[in-house]
Amino acid sequence: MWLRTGPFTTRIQSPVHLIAEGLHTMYADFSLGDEEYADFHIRLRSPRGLRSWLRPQVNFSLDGGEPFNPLPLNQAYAMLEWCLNWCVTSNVNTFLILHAAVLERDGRALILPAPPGSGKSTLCAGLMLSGWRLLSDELTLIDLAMGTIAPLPRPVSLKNASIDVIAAFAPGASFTRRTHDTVKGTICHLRPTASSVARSYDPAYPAWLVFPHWEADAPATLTTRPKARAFMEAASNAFNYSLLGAQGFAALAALIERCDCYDFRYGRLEEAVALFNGLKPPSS
Amino acid sequence: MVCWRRLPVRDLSLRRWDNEWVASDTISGDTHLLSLAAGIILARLQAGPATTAELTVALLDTGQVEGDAVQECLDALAALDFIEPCPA
Repeated sequence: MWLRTGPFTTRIQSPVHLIAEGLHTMYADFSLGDEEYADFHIRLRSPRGLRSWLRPQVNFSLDGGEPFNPLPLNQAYAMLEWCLNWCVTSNVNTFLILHAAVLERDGRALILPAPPGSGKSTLCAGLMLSGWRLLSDELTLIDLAMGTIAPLPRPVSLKNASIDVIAAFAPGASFTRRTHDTVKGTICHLRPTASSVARSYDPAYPAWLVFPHWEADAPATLTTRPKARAFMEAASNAFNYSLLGAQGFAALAALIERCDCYDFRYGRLEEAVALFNGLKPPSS
Repeated sequence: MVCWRRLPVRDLSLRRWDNEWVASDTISGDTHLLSLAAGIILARLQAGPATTAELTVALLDTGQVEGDAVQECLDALAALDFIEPCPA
């Protein structure tokens, strides 16, 4: 399968049923590549031998190399998604890449950098299911020349309690089956909205840089973050800022100039979504 | 009078927002948040070496020259290997 996701084409080869099932559920709205060029050639398959009968596993390879240890077979689809992220963060330096969700409304991008456990993906899923366009739930691709954000819409990764939060928030949403006992706990993936996938090639202009933090029962609160401090926090969430040198600094500084910067605390998703739906565009 | 200069091996990018600065060595990627005074000193030294007295004058408009503030900034920037003393 030659899968086109935003700027990248990935050739995926796998005999694993869970991979086929996950791709069918999550990527039905996506375009296929033209089978002439792929940025990444990956395979996911079960190692052979006695182990395949006793404790079935799945192994990932990129261009023939196997950079990771195998995982239990029931984690095959999760491994595919993790490895698709890894392919980008380990090989792509034509963008400044932030570990951040990014969504768009009226042409303006909301960037949500945050470490795991901050409620980033839950907030991202809630906003997407409320009409915001998903550009990515993990990787914000900043064009070094234009300063725009390139879309990379793919399934949203949800963990543990956030799975039920989103299932209750949007009962019609489409998920993969749940995978238990991963290194991240129980995980599943949420299918991106068709409208997000349909605009996989439309860049967005950065407008808001928001650092989310989930806290039980906390009222939804936006607090302005000074821009220099926003720069420092965003840089710490970048995969290739140091590697890009002056280009990385200039791209991140330009992004900070364009954005209103905030810290955001929330405890209830509905309240958070309502607050972002009322967010005013930056004045400058 | 002590004279100061930017460390020649550093390739610094500087940006100011409000009363804070960000300084980055674009070769190593080291990036630091600086106070208003430290940023002004570093920006001045980007243009060429300067004495402590000249740097104090550069800070007069900021109201941040009280006590040992200038020397503390110089020491902090030297500790980051952004600047070093040099012959006058």
